[in-house]
Amino acid sequence: MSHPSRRTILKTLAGAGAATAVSGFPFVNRLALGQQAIKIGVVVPQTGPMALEAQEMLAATQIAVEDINAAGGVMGRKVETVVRDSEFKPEVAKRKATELIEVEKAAFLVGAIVGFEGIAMAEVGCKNDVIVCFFGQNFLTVKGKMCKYQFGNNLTPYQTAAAAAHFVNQQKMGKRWHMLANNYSWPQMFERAYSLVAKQVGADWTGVTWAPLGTRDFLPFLPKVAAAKADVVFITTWAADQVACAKQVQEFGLARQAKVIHSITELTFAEAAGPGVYENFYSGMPWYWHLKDKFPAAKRYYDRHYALRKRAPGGYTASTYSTVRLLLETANDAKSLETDKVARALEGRKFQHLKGPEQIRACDHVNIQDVYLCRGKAAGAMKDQWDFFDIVQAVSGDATSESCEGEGFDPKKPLTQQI
Amino acid sequence: MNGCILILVALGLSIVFGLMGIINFAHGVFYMLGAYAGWVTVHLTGSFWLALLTAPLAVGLIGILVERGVLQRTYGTKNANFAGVLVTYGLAIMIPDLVRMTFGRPGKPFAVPAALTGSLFRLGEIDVHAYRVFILGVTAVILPLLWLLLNRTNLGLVIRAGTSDNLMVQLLGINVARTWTITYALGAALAAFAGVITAPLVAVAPEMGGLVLIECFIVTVVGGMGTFLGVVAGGLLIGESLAITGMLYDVLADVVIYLAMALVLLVRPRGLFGQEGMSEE
Repeated sequence: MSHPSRRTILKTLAGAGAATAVSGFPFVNRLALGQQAIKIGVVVPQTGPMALEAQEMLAATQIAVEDINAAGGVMGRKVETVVRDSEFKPEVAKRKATELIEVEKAAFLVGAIVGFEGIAMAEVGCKNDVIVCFFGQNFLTVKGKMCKYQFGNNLTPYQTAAAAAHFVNQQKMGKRWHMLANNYSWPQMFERAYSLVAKQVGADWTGVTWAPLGTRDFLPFLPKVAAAKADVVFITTWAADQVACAKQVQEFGLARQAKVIHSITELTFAEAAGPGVYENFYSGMPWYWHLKDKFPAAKRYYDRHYALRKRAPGGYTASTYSTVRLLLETANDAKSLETDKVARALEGRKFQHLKGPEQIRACDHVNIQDVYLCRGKAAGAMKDQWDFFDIVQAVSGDATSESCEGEGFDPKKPLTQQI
Repeated sequence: MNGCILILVALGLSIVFGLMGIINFAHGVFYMLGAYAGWVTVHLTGSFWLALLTAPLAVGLIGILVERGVLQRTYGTKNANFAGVLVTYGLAIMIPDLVRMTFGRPGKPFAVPAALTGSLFRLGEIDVHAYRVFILGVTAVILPLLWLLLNRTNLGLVIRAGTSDNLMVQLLGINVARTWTITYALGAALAAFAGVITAPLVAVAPEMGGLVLIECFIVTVVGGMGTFLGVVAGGLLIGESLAITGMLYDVLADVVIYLAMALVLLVRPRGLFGQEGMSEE
């Protein structure tokens, strides 16, 4: 048996010493890893017409990051947000997203409330192989339009429309359907969904009355809606258009003739319209603050959000909280910040944050989740200034999500293996 | 309703352009400020009727401050008209942000006054509501009053003369500076009045002035920049085009006002009532 040489012994001792130093002494470990905080890049329109919603989403992001850090961070590292203002402009959103990746070295990108911001951010994320998660609706779930690193925790237009349609069907509100909508790409996605579900459940789809985006006076469009003699009128408008539309549909008395369903709404719209304007209208939402009485986690989140912002959180805000938590929890469980590993860990992931069980479907990265159909309250029935609605029904995500085949994807393969 | 609102807002825009040669990008902001001033009044006093008075007065005062404090500094400078565009464009960006900072988001709830709720009568399939009749009524009252002001008073004479030949009015020794201030305030007050009467039907939000401004530019171009009758005709044409297209062929509603503008300009390049020499110094 030959003795090890002096050089070999020295090498072994040096190696063992280094290993001990790194693993055995936490402060050295932190130094070795740099122990820098993990950065999550956030791009939202802090200025412009969606500034309030953006502030709400930033509060939700902050709460989610605090929760993650309180639970030990991601792989023992703290998480911090780096926020950029998209100024509600796609070119700015793109520039800021690029800056977050190239300069700030953000591990993930989150944000975007409306479609054009989402498209801009997705382009940057996909080009740089960084995961992008939208705060707004997940509207790009079509083959050829998304890359493998795109995720959307919020509802898709199809889910939103299908939930409203199934709700109408289950509540036996009538079989003749019509839609009043602004004329641009997002509501056009709802038209497709409503007409498909109408076919499935044997309803008569009478088509759409289109009003230009930015319509101030909806009255000229309402006679056409009335002439459709529909049992149910779905309204797909957003922000100021939805507020004006809700006021004028109430004035026109459409709810006396048909059930009126806002495909989707936000608390801020009801607030801008004023008490009683949404009375007897039904509205879809990804989350509503009354859920705090059902889910303890929702109550904890509500209390913290209220303490921070002095307002009840809206559906998109709650969805934002869940988005950030989902992303960071997944990275922690995957024990990696590598885009591929985290993306694969997100595919099929089941979780429950502020409402019932949710799951990111592997084949298209759509979050299969419940949608809440709520009924607007009369002004006199409101218990406080945020109490605009009552939840009528939670429509299960299983029934409302478009199939992966319908979107052009292979349902048996995770998306990361398809693109 | 749309036609009435467009006429009221576009009249101010047109008068200011006619007399001062300023393409006033801040005009939509005055419309928005009118709605907010109305909201403040209703919030404090509960009276919509008082808001009809206070909103134009308050915003007219802001108009005076803008004209005296900002625009006057651009007069007589090189490229004064361009400077006016830049300054008012800057105000159109800045003031909505100030409103956001002051009043916060989201928009402010603004209900139809109790006395004007409900349907008055039925016209075919449509219930005609008291509030819409009220908007028609006040527009019908304001237009002749404004016409009288512009055509039967000394101030109106100066404004009309200035619209035709500003330099000559100055050479005649008339205090044009004061007339400009009054005209600018009048335009702002008209826009504010339109803002407060529209508020119960729309979302009162800082960005509400943006779209109305675009439509009003189209109205003034179609009617003829700087002409009273032109604005009335243009407002009715654009407002009714939107309404009729909405009822008959809604998918065209997006483009109909631009088509109407293109058609009018092809036939009458100065607009329906525009005349050669107007507003040209």
